[in-house]
Amino acid sequence: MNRRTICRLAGTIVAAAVVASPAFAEEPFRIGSPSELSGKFVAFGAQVKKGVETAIEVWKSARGGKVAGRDIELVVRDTQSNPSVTVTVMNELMRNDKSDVMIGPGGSNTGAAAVTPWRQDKDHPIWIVPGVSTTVVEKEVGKDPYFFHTFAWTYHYHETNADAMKAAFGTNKKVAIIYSDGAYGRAHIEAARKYLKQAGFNIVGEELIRENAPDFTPSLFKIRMLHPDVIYTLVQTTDAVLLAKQIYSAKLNVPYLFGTAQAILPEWKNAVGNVQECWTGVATWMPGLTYAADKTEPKLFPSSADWEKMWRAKYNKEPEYMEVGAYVSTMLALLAVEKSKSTDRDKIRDAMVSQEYHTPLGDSKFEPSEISLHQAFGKMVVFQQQRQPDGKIASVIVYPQEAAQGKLQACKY
Amino acid sequence: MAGWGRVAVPAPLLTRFHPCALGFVDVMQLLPQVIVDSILLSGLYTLLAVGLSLGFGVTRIINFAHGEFVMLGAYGAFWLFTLFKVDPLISLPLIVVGGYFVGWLVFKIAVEKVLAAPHLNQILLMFGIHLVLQNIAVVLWTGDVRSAMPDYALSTWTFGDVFIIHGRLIAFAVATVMIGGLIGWLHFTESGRAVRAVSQNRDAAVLMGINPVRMYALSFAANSALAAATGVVVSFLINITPFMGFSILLKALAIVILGGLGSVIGTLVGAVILAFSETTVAYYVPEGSGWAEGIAFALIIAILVVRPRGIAGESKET
Repeated sequence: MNRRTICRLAGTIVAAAVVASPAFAEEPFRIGSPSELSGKFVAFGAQVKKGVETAIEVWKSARGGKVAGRDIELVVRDTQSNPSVTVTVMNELMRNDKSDVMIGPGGSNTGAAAVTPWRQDKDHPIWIVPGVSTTVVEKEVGKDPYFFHTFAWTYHYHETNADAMKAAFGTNKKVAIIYSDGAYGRAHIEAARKYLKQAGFNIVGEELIRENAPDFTPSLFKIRMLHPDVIYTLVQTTDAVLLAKQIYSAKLNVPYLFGTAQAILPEWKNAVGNVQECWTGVATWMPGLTYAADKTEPKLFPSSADWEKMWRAKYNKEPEYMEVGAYVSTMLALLAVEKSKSTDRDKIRDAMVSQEYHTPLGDSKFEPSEISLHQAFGKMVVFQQQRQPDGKIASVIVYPQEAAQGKLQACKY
Repeated sequence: MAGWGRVAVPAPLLTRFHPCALGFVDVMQLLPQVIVDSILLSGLYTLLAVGLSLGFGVTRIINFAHGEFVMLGAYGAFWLFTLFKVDPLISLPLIVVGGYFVGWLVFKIAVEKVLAAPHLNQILLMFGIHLVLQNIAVVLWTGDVRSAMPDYALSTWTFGDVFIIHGRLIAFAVATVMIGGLIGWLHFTESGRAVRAVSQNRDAAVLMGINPVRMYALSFAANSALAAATGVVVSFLINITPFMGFSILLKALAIVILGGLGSVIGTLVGAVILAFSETTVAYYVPEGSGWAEGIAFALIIAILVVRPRGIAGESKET
């Protein structure tokens, strides 16, 4: 081998190494997910993670491993259900991991903590939030064009609940509200008051309870004296478990028991057992809904029944509402990247806004909400835990009429 | 949901709690329930804190993992109930014995090594144990909320306007028996008297031939056993999660600081004061349930300012 050949060979090797180096390689499309993988809201984080992972898996099997010519990479970081850790996690996902799109978290407390670091980053990426109902977040993000909310805000809950109550038993009823002093209860109380009053209900009492308190009986004793027709609770799952048990024990004899989303969560249902009977709640999605498949993307967005079947076959369990939300959010992001053929946030944003699909969670059209610019899937269903002929208790959709599987029933004593 | 009975309440009361203008009639109407709830809560609070107080009185180490021993007891009762249908009251002796041995083990493996170490090292060690046990629980059982549901957890007696949840009454009875047993052990058995001797004067106890380290282990194990018993009782009263320990620890600390660290009688007094204060505020102060939990900390601050050694605590250098 002469000197010239050696030089050519060395040059080729150097050139190949340079071309193959990370600087020359196409950066992957990176989804960052701040999720509650530990701590008290671990149920939400686990749902978000599983929904995002499943969407990427389905995308890869339907479209191959890439989007817009880039590999898809998912970075999930644990917020530990802790607001201060959430701030760190958001900064890591944006600055170190260079996430192109963020999806998560699920809980209102962590969601509220995530806003400030996201806004402080002047090049903040597209942020899709498949959970978080507190309007504190909506107020904080304001009209930021890169924020997309794919879950209901608190006012969606109470507007839907008030409509359902009005449709079921008219407005000549007394309502007593129990709300927690944490972010969740505080975020819900204003909207609950507004829509219940607007619907014509008489709010006869309000009881503030301490989040994670070991005893709610003083509040229940006072409520018992008011003889309400409806107890309307605005508390998170942990408190909802104890509250359901103590309401049962306190013999309140109230015909209607309303909550928010906790009554659909397996965690709540498992913990309260038979006490769940008669409780009514509101959710963005639940098993048994009959949304049609999307005509252009049936593999990614099958009908809600087929999607549910896929999920049950894959995980041997019923899907949770936030799993559906995270799945659909991820899929919408991937479709937007494919459509825009870019990871540029403005192009992804424009594609997100312009696209519309029939998803297992409903129609994906993003529209302005009361404050923020991009809101989808605010439509909710009201369900009640009803005992079935076989003796088991099941979630039955009672509102809206077009989706109803049964009628709202008064609790039997 | 059969079995819910309507309780007759005079009509004029219907709107008095909103916006919470309490009159004399309302005060009297609530009073029996306030007294009943306070008494029942006092028993539970005493059981909750007495082990912590005993452990500190002897070893002079505050067991910051106390809440985690309660948590382990609660999970033990829950799993025995859920998997094998063993009623928490049946599983109580087993879990108390289990708690005793776990406490002994923790003492031998870790606490014994820091008996002569500076207080800061002891505090760090106990916080470390607290975190390790909490995280083990998360790994083993996830962060999901759980709750044992024996029939008596939900059934109730009503006497006029007063209602008593059976589960709370049972908890009170268990607490009374356990505390009675503890006092009996401390006063009428050789090992109990030896523990008290070490607590009162370690040097004199050594001169009497008592092995202090053995007594430390015994009191630490008794602390764990009592915490585990508390766990069994709360398994059907409150939510069980891996994170329940810290709030329990805070409550127990409030009680022992109030009553005086190391004093069993002081713990009883502290528990009664805290239970009555919290319950009264919860019933009589508007939005009082939200305020009641803060009472514990207000009392700690007050007692630290006015009488730092607590109500029945002794003023001595340790």
